[in-house]
Amino acid sequence: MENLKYIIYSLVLGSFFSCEDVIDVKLEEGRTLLAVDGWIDDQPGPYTVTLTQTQGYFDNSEFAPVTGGVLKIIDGDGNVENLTENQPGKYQTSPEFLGQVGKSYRLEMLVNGEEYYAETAIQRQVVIDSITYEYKEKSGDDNSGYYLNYFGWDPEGIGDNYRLKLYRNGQLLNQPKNLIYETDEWIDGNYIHDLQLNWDDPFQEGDSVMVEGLNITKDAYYFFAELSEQTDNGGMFAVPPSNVRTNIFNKNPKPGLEVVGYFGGSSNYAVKGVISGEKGVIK
Amino acid sequence: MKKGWMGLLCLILTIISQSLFAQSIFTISGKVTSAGQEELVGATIKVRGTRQGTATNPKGEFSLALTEGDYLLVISSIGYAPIEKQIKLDRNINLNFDLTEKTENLEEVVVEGKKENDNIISGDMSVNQLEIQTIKNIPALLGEVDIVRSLQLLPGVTTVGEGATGFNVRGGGIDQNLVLMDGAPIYNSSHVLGFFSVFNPDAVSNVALLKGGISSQYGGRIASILDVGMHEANKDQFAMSGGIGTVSSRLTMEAPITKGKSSIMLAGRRSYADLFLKLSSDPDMRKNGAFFYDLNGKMDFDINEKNKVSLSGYYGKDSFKFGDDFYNNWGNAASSLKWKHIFNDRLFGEITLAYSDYGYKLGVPDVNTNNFEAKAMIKNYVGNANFSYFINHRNSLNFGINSTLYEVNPGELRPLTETSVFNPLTMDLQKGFEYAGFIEHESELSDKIFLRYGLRISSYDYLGPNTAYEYSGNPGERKDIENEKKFGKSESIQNYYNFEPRFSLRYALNESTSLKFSYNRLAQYIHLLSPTLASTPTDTWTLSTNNIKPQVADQVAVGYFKNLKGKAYELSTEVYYKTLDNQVDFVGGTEFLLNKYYEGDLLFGDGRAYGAEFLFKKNVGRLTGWVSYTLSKSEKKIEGINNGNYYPAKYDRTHNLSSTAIYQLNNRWKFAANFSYLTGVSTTFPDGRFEYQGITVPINTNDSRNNYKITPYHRLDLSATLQGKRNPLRKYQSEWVFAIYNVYSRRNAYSIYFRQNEDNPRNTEAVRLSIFGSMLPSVTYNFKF
Repeated sequence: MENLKYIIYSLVLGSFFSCEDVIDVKLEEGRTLLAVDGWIDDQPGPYTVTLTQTQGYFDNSEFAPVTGGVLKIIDGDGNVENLTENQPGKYQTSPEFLGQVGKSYRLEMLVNGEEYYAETAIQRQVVIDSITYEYKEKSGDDNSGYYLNYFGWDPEGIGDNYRLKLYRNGQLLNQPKNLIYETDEWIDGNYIHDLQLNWDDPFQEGDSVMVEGLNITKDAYYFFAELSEQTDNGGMFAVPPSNVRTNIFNKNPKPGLEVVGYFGGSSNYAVKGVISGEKGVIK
Repeated sequence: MKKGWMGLLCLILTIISQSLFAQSIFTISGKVTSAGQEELVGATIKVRGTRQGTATNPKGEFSLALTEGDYLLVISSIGYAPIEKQIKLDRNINLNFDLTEKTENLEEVVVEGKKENDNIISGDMSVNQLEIQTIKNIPALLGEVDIVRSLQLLPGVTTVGEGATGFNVRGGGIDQNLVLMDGAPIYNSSHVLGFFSVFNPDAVSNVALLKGGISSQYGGRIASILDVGMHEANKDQFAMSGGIGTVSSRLTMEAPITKGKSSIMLAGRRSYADLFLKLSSDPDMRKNGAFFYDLNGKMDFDINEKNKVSLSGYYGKDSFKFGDDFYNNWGNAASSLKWKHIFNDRLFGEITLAYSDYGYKLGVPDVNTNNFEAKAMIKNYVGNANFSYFINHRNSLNFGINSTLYEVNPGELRPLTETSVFNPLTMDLQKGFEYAGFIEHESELSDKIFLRYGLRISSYDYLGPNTAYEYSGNPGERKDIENEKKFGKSESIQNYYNFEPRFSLRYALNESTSLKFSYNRLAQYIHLLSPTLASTPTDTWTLSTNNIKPQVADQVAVGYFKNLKGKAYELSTEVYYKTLDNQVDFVGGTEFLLNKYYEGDLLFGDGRAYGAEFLFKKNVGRLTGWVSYTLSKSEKKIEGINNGNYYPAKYDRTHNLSSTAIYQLNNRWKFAANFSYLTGVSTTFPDGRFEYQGITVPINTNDSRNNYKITPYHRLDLSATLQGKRNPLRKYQSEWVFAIYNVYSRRNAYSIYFRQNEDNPRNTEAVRLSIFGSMLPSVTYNFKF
């Protein structure tokens, strides 16, 4: 919502005078920190936690993996699942291990002698009723092609937070501008309809579509809100640049930033289909 | 502490009573005329070397009470050559003066009208003042004469960038300026997000920005007072003026209601870019719209010699429409009723009743199934009673009571049709009552020393009905609600009070040189929550609550003031140091609209600002203008930001240089130039990156805030004014104003941000956003008759 507002202001103003140029800036290179990228859901695993080292902002090389860590996931009932480092820096659960709706999960990591932990939960599943698609001619900045809309009930009770992932021909649309995250605070218990999922990047005839709806925790919602703010932060009404939150903590915290990234959990529900004709419905 | 204040009060009373019974008093009375016949209204009679003075009534008469002694009277009126008269006052005397008109050059007249060494002998310091005529001469963005932008050419005033809403004074936030239009507060001083100001230059007669040494009569904001007075209409004849510009057109009408006694002024202004959009061949463009308008009105009644009443009103609005997808409107309304009453030769009173509001609406129109409208509003009701008591020619006393009732609707949302996914939502109205009393003594201790000291006591109640929340959590992080408590109607949820001492001292080294010192404390019970770098029209206002403490600022300033060759050249230097308490910032990912628990997202801390300001002005001759330079630092210290250490504010501009020159070539041509150079705004640059689910995320491994200054800002503007040929038999006058903004097309950085390359997400880049990418020419036609 907020984002929409700022985008609109910028568009209205931008159309008058403003301009953007890519420029050279000299940046310092900061300390090397541990970066965690982990997720668990209610779909068949294995689930992966990736550990890497941070690097300079303009350093475009591969991230260096952090190897030799001891990682485990403990559920709310105390069941322990040990992760195996299958590739350098990539730690996986066993294929039998399955995330369950309604449970909380704790990731514990022993990395380079430091003990870290992170907590998350898998919230109830939210069903996508259908996705509709419709062909639109070019209008303004929007190219001609198919635009998708979301339909489905928000379950009664505030606390369902959405992250919607859009796949084209099996490929996740994963630019910062594609991040879609919503809370149910303003719409609780209502039938969500006509929620447009793609803006300047339409689908074409014959494309396969998959929409994945994730119900995430409020903290994960804030994480994605900040991730979006900080990676898609142009225009007149940018927010102050600041570090995206993390839920990874050291058991014996030290002063200053030590670790970045996030370990989150979700229940997922996906619908898929192929685009054909002027318009249609995917269930 | 309490004892200290009692002591101060005793001291005030002692000095007052001593000065009360010192000498005997006589009156000087008489008449001021022009060319021996026409009575001059509003001509001033000033006593040189003092603050004593009066103005003529509608019959051209005046009366002035002074203690026995020798005086130099200066009689002046705009458009007339002033007269000086030495008198010996040992009895009541009657004196008449006749002034001769000065016709040719308006610039000179303006200066002559204020020829005295006002700036030297006045107890005021840290005042940015511009004649409205000077403001009109400064080259303007797209030809829109702009009071707020003009003030930024003087020391101590900056913004977070061109086109940004509001202005920052000596390290203060934009919400810390009390903007008054004829005594009614204006909450948003900008049109079109910040490109233009809400003041129609034709409807304004005087502008003063008080940055320090603020007198006890003012309170409620901690950084500055911007006092804008609306134009008082001509009481003798009908007049009209207006202009057609590139962005907007203006029309002002003034007329007597009863000749010589009462008058009315009406002014309107509207932008018209949207009217051109309607002509577009693209149907989508036709649905877009962006425009603003404002209306000013003022009525003045000179009831009799002792009573004067004026009624002022302002209404302004901005409207944005983006096709059928989105709309957003906002605007201020303000009105005030002022009654000036002269009780007797010594006691003068002014009662002001004012109402003002600011509100916005935004939404998705009902042609969409998921439509809604959200709105928020802040209202205030102001009642002020201020009095001045002239004890004798060296002493006067100002006192009064002020009150403001605030009502804030923090937001409500409603779906427009049943098809909408949105639930209707409302939030509790916030109510607060601020009341203050002040007393201040102004004393000319000797010819050299002028002293003004006073005390303002302000108190504030956060009132029910409302729910008060208590939060718990770690400092610097989002806090969780722990407890809530309901309060009934008019119950005080929380009370705050502040003692606000004020002190100003002037020491005149000679007729043309003085040193000044001031200290003031100011308290503010209202806060603007603006989570973005530049404020938007939809930022949330909140009152001080049980969780949000009032903002308090303390400032000391020292200044050196010098006039050369009369007042042909003015030079001033000031140094200031200021501390700010209870400043607000936010955790990331914050949403204030319709967030009941917004207080949990706030972070608190302090600020400090210090700097040196230099101003050199040339007031007479064909070439007039000024050079202004500020060297300053503005810092904040907020829990949870920058590891809890001081960091530069976004609007911290180390160097701020600006110079304006106006050259009158002949009776018809006038040229003006303006050059500004400012250190770039502060921003945070990343020093590292990581990847999360395939997205490259910037990080600052030291958790620092505003660790870089972006590239310096500089800009040159030019303008030329061609006065229409004047026919002495006709009243009609006209002029053409040609202006170029950003002459050398500099792409000044508004911000620099970082992103992953769209085609190759692994590659990252820095992007400079410039608001104006090229020069902007404009033409304006002005007329009056």
